[in-house]
Amino acid sequence: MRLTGVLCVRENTHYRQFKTMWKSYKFKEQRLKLPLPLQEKNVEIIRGKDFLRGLDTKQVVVAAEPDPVPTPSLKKHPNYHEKPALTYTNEIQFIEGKKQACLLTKSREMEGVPAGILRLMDTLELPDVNSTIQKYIMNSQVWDPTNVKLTKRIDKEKIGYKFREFGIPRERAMLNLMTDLVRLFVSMMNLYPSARENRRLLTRPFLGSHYRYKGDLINIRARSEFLISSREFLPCFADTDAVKESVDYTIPDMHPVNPTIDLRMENLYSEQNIPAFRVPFEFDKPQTLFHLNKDLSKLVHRQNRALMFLLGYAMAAARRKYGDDVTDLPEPICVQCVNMNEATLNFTFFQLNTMDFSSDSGVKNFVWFDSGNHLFAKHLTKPWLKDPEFKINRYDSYSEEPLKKLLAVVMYGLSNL
Amino acid sequence: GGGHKQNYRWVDFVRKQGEDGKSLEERVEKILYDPVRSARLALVASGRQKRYIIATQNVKEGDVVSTSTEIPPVVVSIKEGNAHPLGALPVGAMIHHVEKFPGEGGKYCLAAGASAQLVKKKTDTCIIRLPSKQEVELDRHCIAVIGQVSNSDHQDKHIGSAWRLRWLGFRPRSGLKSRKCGYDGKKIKSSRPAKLVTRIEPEPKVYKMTLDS
Repeated sequence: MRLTGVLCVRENTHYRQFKTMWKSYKFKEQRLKLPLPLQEKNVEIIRGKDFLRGLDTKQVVVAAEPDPVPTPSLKKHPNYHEKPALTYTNEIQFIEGKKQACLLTKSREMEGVPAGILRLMDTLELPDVNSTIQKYIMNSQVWDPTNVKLTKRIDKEKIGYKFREFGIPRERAMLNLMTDLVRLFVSMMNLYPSARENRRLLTRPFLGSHYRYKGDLINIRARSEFLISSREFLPCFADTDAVKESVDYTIPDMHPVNPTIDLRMENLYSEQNIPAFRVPFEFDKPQTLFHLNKDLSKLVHRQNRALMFLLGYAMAAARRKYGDDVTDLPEPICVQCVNMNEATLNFTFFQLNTMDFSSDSGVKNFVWFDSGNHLFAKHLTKPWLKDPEFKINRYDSYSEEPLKKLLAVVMYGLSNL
Repeated sequence: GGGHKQNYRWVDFVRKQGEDGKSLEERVEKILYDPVRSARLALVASGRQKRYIIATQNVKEGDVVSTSTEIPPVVVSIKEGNAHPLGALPVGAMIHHVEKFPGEGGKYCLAAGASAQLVKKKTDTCIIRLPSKQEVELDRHCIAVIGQVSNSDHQDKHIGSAWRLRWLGFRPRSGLKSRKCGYDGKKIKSSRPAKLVTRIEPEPKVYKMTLDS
């Protein structure tokens, strides 16, 4: 008989004496007595040993382990191709800058701002919006109630100073200001009935477009904030004479480097054809794109990104109108982009004249860059200095020149003007 | 020990020719600081490939730098930054980033301002003089880069404070002010003959085994 805890816990047992008795085999097992109520009820009682002997342990079947699922191989995916394709996304930066972007889009960089927009800037009058825009700026930078720990920053005037700041994150402030500006200027545009009938504002458009550059497939994926699209394209920025003269222009080369050096190579891909809206759509001609520069990249990279996105939108729109295989466009397609930082506005204007990217000769596309339009200046805190003016962020040098340009850009193409 | 944390940059020490069989031309995009070494790095791009190499003095952004592994009958013209085998260079050329064995990557003269000199050319080997005045005999197919390693003012810079030495990872030194007793100082020795660089393969070990039935 086994020495179990149940045995030890019995009435009137002394533990030490019990152990000595156990060793000398003088212990006799007490017969178990059934309690009286059970005897009266005639309940079936089986001894434990008999019950265990009746069980057949060999009948217990352990479930077999399932076969391991083989990991699927990459090459059996339906979208797998041996020759990789190149993709352009929000984060890519070009190593050679403007030169590389102009080569990839086969475009000629023109000076200044297109003539049609300059004319509109002179004729249109901006109503008195200074106080409202200054309120929008204060809303986005100061009066917003979010209070979050901000990312650490390094000030070049005091390297090693450990900042611990709380306030409004950069992305939120930029988005608030952009939505307010877009709402104000689009409402000014909608005073004209031709805008109300022909144009629509889309939020968070996602574009998936593609084109072939010297035999390589390039996919463009663009995520922006707003898009104004309409029933018609914008009127041309440059006339047909300029388009014919562009045949003589040679784009500066970047030998020995390939212009597609910074694009990402992928084996799993498909030809992207995702427009920013559900097709068929009445207002499927993109006109103005609004993009936020959330990263801390340089100005050049932001303008290059705007140019590549405009190319994607223009190519997709041209294919929808003229078909998939067209190379010579009967009429050029014009698109424009406004990309914004916390305080500066940059404008990009693009005119698509050809869809033939197999060589660097022939008709070229046109691009205009207008950058560095500062709305206001933000001076950050310098807590290591004693003057009270350095204890808070300061906002000054407000100017309304960028707003006149923004008004002209938004109003461009309306039939009444 | 200690010092500021440093991230390693993967540098390519092998200068190869293009896959066509022609010399490889690369453009210098940027000259960068590397905390791990005293020389500067150059970001270099060609085709769809980018890589870091040790930068040469007087090479700027936008320059085109070439490498070739052929030894033409006529000696090659000198241009800083280009890489050629030792057999193709003229005697007396200032070189750096010299390989020990062909195709294995540069080993000699990688520090800031360092340079070796090509002293003599023989039928199969070439003799170069290293910065320590030691002469070394190498295979003529070993590749060397023309010029001096970048950042040649590295030695002239004054560290300025004890803090900066600790940031660089050097612990405090002692014994610098002890007087010299005449046994110190560099001794002038006669130049030794050039050391032939060869790879000695170890003899295969022979084990004798017996079978007892």
